[in-house]
Amino acid sequence: MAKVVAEAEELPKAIVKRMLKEKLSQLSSDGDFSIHSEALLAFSESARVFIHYLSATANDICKESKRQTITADDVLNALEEIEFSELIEPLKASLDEFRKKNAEKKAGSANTKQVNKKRKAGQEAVTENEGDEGNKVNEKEDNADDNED
Amino acid sequence: MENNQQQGGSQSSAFPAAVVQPPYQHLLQQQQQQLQMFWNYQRQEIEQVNDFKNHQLPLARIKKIMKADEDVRMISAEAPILFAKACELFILELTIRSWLHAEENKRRTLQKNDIAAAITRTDIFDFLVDIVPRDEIKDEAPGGVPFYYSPMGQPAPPGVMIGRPVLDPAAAGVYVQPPSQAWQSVWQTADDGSFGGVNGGAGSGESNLDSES
Repeated sequence: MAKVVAEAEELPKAIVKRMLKEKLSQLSSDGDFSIHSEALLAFSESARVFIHYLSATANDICKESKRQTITADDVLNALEEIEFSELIEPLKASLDEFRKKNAEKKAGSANTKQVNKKRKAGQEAVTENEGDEGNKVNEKEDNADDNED
Repeated sequence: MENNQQQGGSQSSAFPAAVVQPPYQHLLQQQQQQLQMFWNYQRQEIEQVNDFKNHQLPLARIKKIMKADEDVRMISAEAPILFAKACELFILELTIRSWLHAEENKRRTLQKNDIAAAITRTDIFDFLVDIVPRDEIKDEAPGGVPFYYSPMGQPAPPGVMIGRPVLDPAAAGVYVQPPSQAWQSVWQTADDGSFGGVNGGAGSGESNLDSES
């Protein structure tokens, strides 16, 4: 069964609708608004095409620099190119937040590993002192391993 | 005439109650309204910055959409994140402009032709011109936008939208380049009082668009 036409992936309707509702409730002075279903579709399609447009531009920029992987900078430069520069500042802020959180996560898990290593060493020392290496050491090591992510 | 209609009609709470005003007062009110909208946007922006955690648009889906373009090969991990946010902001922008059109026509329901109008009115949305076709040219508020987008500054006949003008500030008369945010250019209004006059110029004095090559 050959697939003749590849379906275009769409953005999830519910999420787009939620975004619209949030914004419209701010924009409308009395909170009274509704969205025609065709309009919702138009938004989703527009957003999808925007993704294509932006990624094609970012891709071009990436290739010009003889690279293979589209980076965040490529995307930001692409925005400038397609004259959506107003988006750049908020996006940079968002990106910084993301990078920070990522760094924290990594630091967090690195710390956990350190703590577990120390714990292991401490436990081994204790069990050695007790002179009962065998099972106890293994148990404790197993527990320590369980704690490590 | 339109001015009064807009004042009496579906305007935001920025408008004071008075209806009959000398033109000067009217301009002040418009400025107030613009400012209010501008600050609404700013607030929204700030909220969004803090809100990045709920990646509303699914990254996997975005990646799939990106990869539908065979030319696109490898994507860094950060790129879909930027795309999700950019998409969101884009949708919000489109929403604002579409809503303006709906309000101009005294409607509370956002319709497809509102989006089509927003696309036609905004230079940087040119790439969408075939996506949301403008089948019925329904500009119920005449004299709204076409004025901005005709070359030489002559008003185009109603319903005719010219997508890629060279904006001549002298002729257009109202293209003021604000010192700070390019967003303020969104809220420019025409002399005739229509606040649908949006131009998407991104921070440059004259938008000489060549967005599609």
